[in-house]
Amino acid sequence: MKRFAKLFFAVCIVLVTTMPIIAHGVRINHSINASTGEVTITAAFDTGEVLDEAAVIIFAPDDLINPWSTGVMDETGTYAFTPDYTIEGFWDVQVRKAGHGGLINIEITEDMMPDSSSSAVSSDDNSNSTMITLSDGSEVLITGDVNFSVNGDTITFETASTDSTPQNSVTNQSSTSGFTTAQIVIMSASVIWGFIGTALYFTGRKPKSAT
Amino acid sequence: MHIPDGILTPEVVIGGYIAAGALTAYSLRKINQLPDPQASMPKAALMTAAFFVASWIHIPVPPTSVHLVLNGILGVVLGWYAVPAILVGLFLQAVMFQHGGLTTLGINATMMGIPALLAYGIFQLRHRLNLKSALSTNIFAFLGGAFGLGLAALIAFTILVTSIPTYIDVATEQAAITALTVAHIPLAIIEGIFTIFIISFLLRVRPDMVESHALTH
Repeated sequence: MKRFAKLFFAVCIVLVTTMPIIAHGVRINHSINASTGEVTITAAFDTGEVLDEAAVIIFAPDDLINPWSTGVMDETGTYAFTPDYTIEGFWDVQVRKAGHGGLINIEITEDMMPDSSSSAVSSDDNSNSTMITLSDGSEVLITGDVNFSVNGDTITFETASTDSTPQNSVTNQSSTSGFTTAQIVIMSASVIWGFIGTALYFTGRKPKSAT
Repeated sequence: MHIPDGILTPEVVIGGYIAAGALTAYSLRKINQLPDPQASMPKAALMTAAFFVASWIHIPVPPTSVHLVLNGILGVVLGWYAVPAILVGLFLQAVMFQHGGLTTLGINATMMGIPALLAYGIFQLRHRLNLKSALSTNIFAFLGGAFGLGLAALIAFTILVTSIPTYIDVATEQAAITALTVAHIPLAIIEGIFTIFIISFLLRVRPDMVESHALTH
């Protein structure tokens, strides 16, 4: 028995440490673009193989029986939608293909709604310049890519952005399996060692129970 | 093969737990009736470890891919012990790696456990037919290992196809499930060959582990 256990343990260790980490767990991620309010879902197997053309079913918090919306992922395993921000709570998004898939919860609140934090006065969209007339009749011209708000005669400037790339993207990750290879190897080895220990324990007891 | 959470209706999930509970209770009772229930524990523990690791071993079958299951092998080698072994293995796979799911633990255990017992029955048929050659042992080992997986895949197919929600594209999902089930045919052959290797190895090292007749008691 011990010979069998040793051989088995050696085979398991070799398998766990050398095999690519591949299986049929599904990893689902989502990101929310704060400027547009769009939620983007991506789904892939642990192998990295994307769930292309997988069905996407979205449930709003106020009705978890009838889908709020359904759709199909594109060939890159991506799907985007804009939720109704007035329905606050945890939205369930299910991705499934051939009986495989997963479910994630995305918290949606009205605070996350686009434009909810816009300043009191906005700049001219095309020229990036704004003329403000104060209470004493004087005028202030503000130019450049800056955000500001006006309260009475007080102009408050906010941090400006000179970067043209989208910078308001809030990314949250929620996955069904997010372990690294090292973690998986350690976890698998721990479980295997537990089974080996169980086998050795009962091997040791065998002569006693036989008497 | 592992049905994840959120795919099945609550009725199927509850039914799966009832079936798995009954199957496990009956199997444990049968194990307890053996002259020495602890005698096969080392073998069961090691085979559960193999089952646990197997889902990480992935075999590409274009256009999809499948992973080893080993439920037929567990049935052939363990007999009644296969049911608790599969249940424990599935539980650990679900908790640690989210392969399968906790709500679907019952249905997955039933789906793999019943074919495992039938696989053992097939393997033991050689005694009833009085076939004692090494070749016949290998043939029945192959049939047991392959049938165990094949039947489990067929049960999974039936469960999945009959529980597709109407609000998704049913035809597309059916086609995808069918493709995945067909991909298990070569896997069944592979697991059948694995079963031959394991039985041959055990017969050389510890023949008493193979001839325990666990189901006949």
